[in-house]
Amino acid sequence: MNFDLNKTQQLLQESAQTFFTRECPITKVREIMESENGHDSALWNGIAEQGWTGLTLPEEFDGLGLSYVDLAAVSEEMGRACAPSAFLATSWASALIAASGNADLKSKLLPDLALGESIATVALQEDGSNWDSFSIQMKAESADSGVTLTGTKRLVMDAAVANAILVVARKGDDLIVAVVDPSAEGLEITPTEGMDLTRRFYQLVFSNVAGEILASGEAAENALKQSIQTGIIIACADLLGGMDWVLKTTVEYAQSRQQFGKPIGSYQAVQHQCADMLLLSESSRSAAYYAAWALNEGDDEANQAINIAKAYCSEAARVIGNCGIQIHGGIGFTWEHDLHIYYKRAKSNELIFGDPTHHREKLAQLMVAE
Amino acid sequence: MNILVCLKQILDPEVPVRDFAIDGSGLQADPNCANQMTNIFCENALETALQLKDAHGGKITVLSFGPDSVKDSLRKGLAMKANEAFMVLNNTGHQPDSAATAKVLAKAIGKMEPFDLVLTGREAGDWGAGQTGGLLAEELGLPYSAFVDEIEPEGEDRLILRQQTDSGWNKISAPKPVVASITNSDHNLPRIPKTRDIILANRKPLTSWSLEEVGISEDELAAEQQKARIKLLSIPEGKSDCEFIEGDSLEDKIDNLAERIVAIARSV
Repeated sequence: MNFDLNKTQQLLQESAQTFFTRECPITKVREIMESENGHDSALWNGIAEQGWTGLTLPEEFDGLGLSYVDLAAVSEEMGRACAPSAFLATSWASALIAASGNADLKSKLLPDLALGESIATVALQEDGSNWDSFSIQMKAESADSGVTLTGTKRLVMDAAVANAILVVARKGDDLIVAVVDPSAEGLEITPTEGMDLTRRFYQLVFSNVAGEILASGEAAENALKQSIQTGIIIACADLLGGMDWVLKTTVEYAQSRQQFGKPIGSYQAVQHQCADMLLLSESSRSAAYYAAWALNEGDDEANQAINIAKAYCSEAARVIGNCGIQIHGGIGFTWEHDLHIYYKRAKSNELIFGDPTHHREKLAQLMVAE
Repeated sequence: MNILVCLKQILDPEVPVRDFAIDGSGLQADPNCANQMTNIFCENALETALQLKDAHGGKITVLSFGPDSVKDSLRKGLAMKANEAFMVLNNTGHQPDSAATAKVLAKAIGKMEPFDLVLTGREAGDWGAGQTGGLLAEELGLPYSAFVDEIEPEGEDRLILRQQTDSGWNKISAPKPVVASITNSDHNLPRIPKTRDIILANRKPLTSWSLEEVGISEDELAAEQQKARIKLLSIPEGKSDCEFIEGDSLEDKIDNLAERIVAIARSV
């Protein structure tokens, strides 16, 4: 059995690697990190032109209808480049709309999102920073043309550059997802300071903000779950690319940096750490791509595979980051070295869509339910 | 305009020195020590052809001679928007030299419809011989220009080729058909295939011929190889040393450093 990417996927990944090497070198990443909203229109347009914004969206909405494995292959290269973009936020939102079953809003919103002409994000988390839908407290009240929303959402990705915000709220006992215009009256968007400057988060305060219902009840629950799974695939692949970068950079450093007349990589203590990094990185790769495959195939183990992948990749990336900084010594701790950019990105990927504890708990629940 | 672009697949020339290896025969690089990729100058040639097609219309065919893996290079060429692809399969397990390659490519071209322009890369990133283009022109009996970085039509029957030189450019007017080897330039950076084109590339025609089908036997190919033979390949051993330059003042140290550099350069 061949577990490798097929030829088309290999070419897709090679193209993505060439694109980010050319269009988003680390100097560009640092430039975007310094910018006000962490968004670069030229880079975004390039990503859209390549077709990646519509990679897994259905062809009837101008998407390419490709698999989650293809999505992972491209996302891995984004992680390798530490590319700052609204890709994760928009892909999550697009997946939520695609899974919603609302034909009108799908036709209205998805083509622009697939072509990268529009950016969207999802406002889910509230005070408890919980990723479960039962924690949603934000109130939605019926209004003439949909709902009005009141409450606060935290850690909303790329809200400042989004053209549409999908807000998860509660109308009575039912979960709903509403589409809100970011310029709507009563909505206040404030940046939240974060450690990972390649991704921007915002606090959104809603005071009777008008929204259009995308999905409600069970449909909303299911669409939210499916879209989070898409987001997890992207986050895990992003982590893989970052892990690979840290591993290669660290091994290269260990082979060239000399101490006591020998490369530091010739000492067992360093070799063991490098070997551990490789083991973690390769095991993460297996977990992440298996999860992507299982989700695509609707495999029975898909839910478990996704929880395992997110828990494992998140922890592996943190350990690899720690080892990388340790082996680099003092230089690895400086702002000038690029390691910290990857370390902080790994931390944000670790927390987004639930940390390892959250996913281990989910996994335990699934196993107990069996 | 009907354009043929020859693509060569090579081992990734950016492979780290520590990973590069020579195979057991001692005559060629270990094909497993690095990824196979399309020679960058061949991609510059394809980009030049694509720009000509974008501006003036026409059709682009890509051709390669090599093992089955060259299909990957041809598929990438199709994804970059070449129209069709051909390959001559090399099952011999040996990498042919420039003369043998030119002979095989010429035979294959003889089986195809006529071309207005045949492009190769300036040289390949593995051996850097830079001879295939010229030898191919010789085999085809066509005019040839090397180190071209820009091509424009001149009326119906001629092309203007801009050739890089040490001191600037030559602009050469040549009758069609013509062979040119393409060098890299700011304006022929290979385009990155878009996802939709990558998918569509799988639906475009890719024809594979055996050596016999293009009219050359393995014996003939081997005889061609006899003209230039590799005796032995080896990886140079790197040596590094550290020397502290003494001096009473900074100026002294700089003078001593300069003298030492001159002395080392002379000894080499």
